Amino acid sequence: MINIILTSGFWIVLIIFFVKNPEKVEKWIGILSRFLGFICKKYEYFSIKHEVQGKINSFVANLEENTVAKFSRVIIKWTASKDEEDIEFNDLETVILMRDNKHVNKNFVHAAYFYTSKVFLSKAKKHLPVNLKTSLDLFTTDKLLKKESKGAVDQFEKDFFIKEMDSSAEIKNYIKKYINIDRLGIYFPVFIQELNFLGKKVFLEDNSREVTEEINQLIDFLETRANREVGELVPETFAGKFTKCSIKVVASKTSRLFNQVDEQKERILKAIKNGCENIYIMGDAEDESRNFVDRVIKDLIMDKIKISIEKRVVFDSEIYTHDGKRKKVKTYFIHINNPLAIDNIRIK
Amino acid sequence: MTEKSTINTIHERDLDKLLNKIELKEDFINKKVKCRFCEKIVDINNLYAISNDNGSYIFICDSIECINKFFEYSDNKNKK
Repeated sequence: MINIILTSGFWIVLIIFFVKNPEKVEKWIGILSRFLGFICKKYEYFSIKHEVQGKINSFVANLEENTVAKFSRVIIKWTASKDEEDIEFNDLETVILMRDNKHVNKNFVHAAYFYTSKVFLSKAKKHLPVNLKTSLDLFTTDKLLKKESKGAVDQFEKDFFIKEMDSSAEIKNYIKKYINIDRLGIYFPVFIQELNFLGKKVFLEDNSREVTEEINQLIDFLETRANREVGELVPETFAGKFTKCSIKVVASKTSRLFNQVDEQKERILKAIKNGCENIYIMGDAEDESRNFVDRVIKDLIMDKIKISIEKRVVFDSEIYTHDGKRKKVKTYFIHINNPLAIDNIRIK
Repeated sequence: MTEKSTINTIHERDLDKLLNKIELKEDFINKKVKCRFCEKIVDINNLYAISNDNGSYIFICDSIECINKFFEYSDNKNKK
């Protein structure tokens, strides 16, 4: 009887996992079916399609766990794979070449770079100059590969990443900044998210130059935050023309020691009143700090302040301690959205 | 509803069929097809993609410079 319960419990857990993580399941079906492709060429199409599709979509699903942004998934569509197929090759359509399963890394690098360059953040990137766009594509692809296909990282870094960085000091400079921002863990949950919000705004006049200038300032703001030593005072609010956000540490040792819930609540309220669309609360993920942050947020909600809590997650970060050394920590991160500040139609 | 974007791919085994369709098979075999951006000869070993540009066909080699130039070119084209 116990055996039956345990066995059925296992299957239920497995089914729940399948339903909740279709991308991961697809990725593993693709990987596991690779050997069928070696036996019968027909299965190679199946395994390449599902492995590439599953890995990219799994990365996107993972990204959405830390951001409120919704990113497009991909479908790999084969051209001319059937004998009788009437091949369609429409205007402006691009077909990328996939090789057999011996080149699994090359296939994935080519498809992943196509995805980050042509699909990922496509609306926001419309406003950006080439080097800024390329730096984003390179860094994001590198992150994608490190998460989903470690075996392909070397090939990508050797053939794409290093070559492009060496060809442009500007790209190299951007990448250095992203590395710092990413160390704090806010490349995707803050930077890419803000770019995504920016991409949703409708501009009635062409202002690419101003948008670029503002993104450069946002990058500098985030890098300064990332390079901050614990306790160091650096600007916590970014107030641009198109983007207004704030990153706050509310559970400092002093705040917790003197139970300054009201003071911290006031700091968040000030950012809301000043029109910040997004307020990101960051702090240590250990219980005492986390409970303090939760109390501040709970008080804000009880005061009927019109905000919505979009995300509440824990992620890995690297911070600088007082003596300038790097330390790996778990960060508690809350994304508060201020619906009254959202203005998606801009004249300029 | 999750948005989905299609990436069109072709297996190297099926490339002949597409080249036949666009009437460039002979040129490709005879190494007369060049990368649009670096002018290097494109063959099965260094081909990244083929794009239909108003009925003329662009071949892109797998060097990162050419891939990025192609993305820039197609982005500008889409803006128009």
